[in-house]
Amino acid sequence: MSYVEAPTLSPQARRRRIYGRRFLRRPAAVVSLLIVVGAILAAVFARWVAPYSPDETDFNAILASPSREHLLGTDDLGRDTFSRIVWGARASIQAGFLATVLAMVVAVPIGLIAGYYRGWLDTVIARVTDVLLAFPFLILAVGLAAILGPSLLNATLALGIAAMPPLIRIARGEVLALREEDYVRAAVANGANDAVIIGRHILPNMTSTLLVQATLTIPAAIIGEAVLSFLGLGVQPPTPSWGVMLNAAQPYLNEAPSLAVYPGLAIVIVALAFNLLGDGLRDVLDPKTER
Amino acid sequence: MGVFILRKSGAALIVVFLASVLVFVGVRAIPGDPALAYAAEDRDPEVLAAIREKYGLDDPLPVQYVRWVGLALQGDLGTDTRGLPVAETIVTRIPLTLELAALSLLIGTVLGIAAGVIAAVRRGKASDYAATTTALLGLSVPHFWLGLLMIIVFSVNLNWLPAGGYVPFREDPVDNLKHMLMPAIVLGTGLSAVIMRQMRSAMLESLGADYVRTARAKGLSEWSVVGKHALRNSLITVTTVIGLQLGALISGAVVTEQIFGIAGFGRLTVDSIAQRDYALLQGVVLVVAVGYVVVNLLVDISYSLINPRIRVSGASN
Repeated sequence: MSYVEAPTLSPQARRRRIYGRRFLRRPAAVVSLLIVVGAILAAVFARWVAPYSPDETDFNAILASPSREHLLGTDDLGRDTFSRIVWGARASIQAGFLATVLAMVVAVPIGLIAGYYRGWLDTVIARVTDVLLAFPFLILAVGLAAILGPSLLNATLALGIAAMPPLIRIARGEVLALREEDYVRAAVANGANDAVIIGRHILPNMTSTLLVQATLTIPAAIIGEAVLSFLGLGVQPPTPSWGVMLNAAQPYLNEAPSLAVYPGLAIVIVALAFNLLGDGLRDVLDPKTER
Repeated sequence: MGVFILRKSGAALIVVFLASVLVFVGVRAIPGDPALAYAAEDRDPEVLAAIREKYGLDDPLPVQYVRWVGLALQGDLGTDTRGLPVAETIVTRIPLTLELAALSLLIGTVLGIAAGVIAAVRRGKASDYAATTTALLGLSVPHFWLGLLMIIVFSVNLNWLPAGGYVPFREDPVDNLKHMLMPAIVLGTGLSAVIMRQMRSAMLESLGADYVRTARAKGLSEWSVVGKHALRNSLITVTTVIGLQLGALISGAVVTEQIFGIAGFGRLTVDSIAQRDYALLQGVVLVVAVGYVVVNLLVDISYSLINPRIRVSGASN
């Protein structure tokens, strides 16, 4: 008697496979993932992707229109626009990711503690969050960037701090709901300590919410970096950043409008890709919210 | 109801107090000597000492804070580095931003609600996809870039609208609207995208509810089912969303005014940072925080008026 051995998969592997299949069925999310990966690779390998150095000036091609030498034309100093966009991706990606990581690393534990232990600590944290939420995201970021001084690192810090209050709220709300779940109560009844309950039962069940929040915080931080740099509070010229490029394009809206078009297009494409990826992940991880 | 309003107002007062402390400490954390900003180019130690004496910059921080809040409560926010009263400057700049915000709110709400209703009613059809995609695009387009694009198209190429500046409404209403149209559209589109998405999902939920089925079963016209039953119930959700978006509106005003050269409140914020004008900056940020808290309070209260369930669940906590 011969029989085919059934492939044995661990429950985790099976779930991963289901998620993977659901994700692949969403073309918008797949394309977005490719764009995001492409942008990250371009930023990391800018040296090889960009045909010119971002500071290389070509005085024979000032405010030139797109050509074979300069794919997207040149700026007022004859610098290659395409190369500057590729190098500028570094600032955007760095600010987007680092600010989000910073916000998550600080906000999630605070929200966890507030939601899990409740009591006076929760009240204090909720009040402080309320106060920070009294300042709109960008106003808070602009204010913090002004306090810290203009640089990419400080802009990233400012954006990360400004992104914390809503994340604290979300994490706290999630913990409040998960705490009441039967399996958490069962763990408590079994005598599990707080670390085990938080680490093994609550945190893993929050990851999908947090992952989705992260993919939505990244584009907000990317746009935030562009705004701060545009206002002169972020990356300082001549270092390329999409916000810096848009600011520098302002005097040339008449002669070379394309200078103001391409960097903005880069922001929109990357931000849109992250937003779509977030939407896709939400659908994959939580089929209930599927529209 | 009275208790609910009192409790909410009390919480708002605490938030305003803490926010004022935060503003005060934050502004003092900005590197640089405030006396130098007042003295402009004059670095003579005696002049600087006189300035510190005059503005009480040598006093301990708590003393300075109490003095600042005491005067602020009387409507005096001090004088800026040019010697002008901060409160007066803010009062003259606010109307511009309020006009911009009101127009943007109008554009955003009308566009957002209309598009949301159409998308929900025609779910899965081409118009739904068009509206949903446009909204998603609207969420990912930064205000300032949209502003630059509009200037390129409507001012530089077509020459239809002025690229910037401001004309008071009382002087010339038509010219005023011409100047405000592009900034209001720039600021309103982001808002309309958010409202559209909320409106669409709220409408989809309402359209699937029992009372809508009952209304249909009664033989009501589709127009009255959608307009009277589904729309009215969906508006409750959207009211809150609009309230929550006011912060984004203020943030957006900062950038939009910068691009279109409107000397409003947002522009004042950026200028006060650039000029290291401490008195001005802390006045501006305080007004933003207080305004934001007050608006949120009003939204909370109005929401509980529309939807009594909130009040009940709020009271039981």
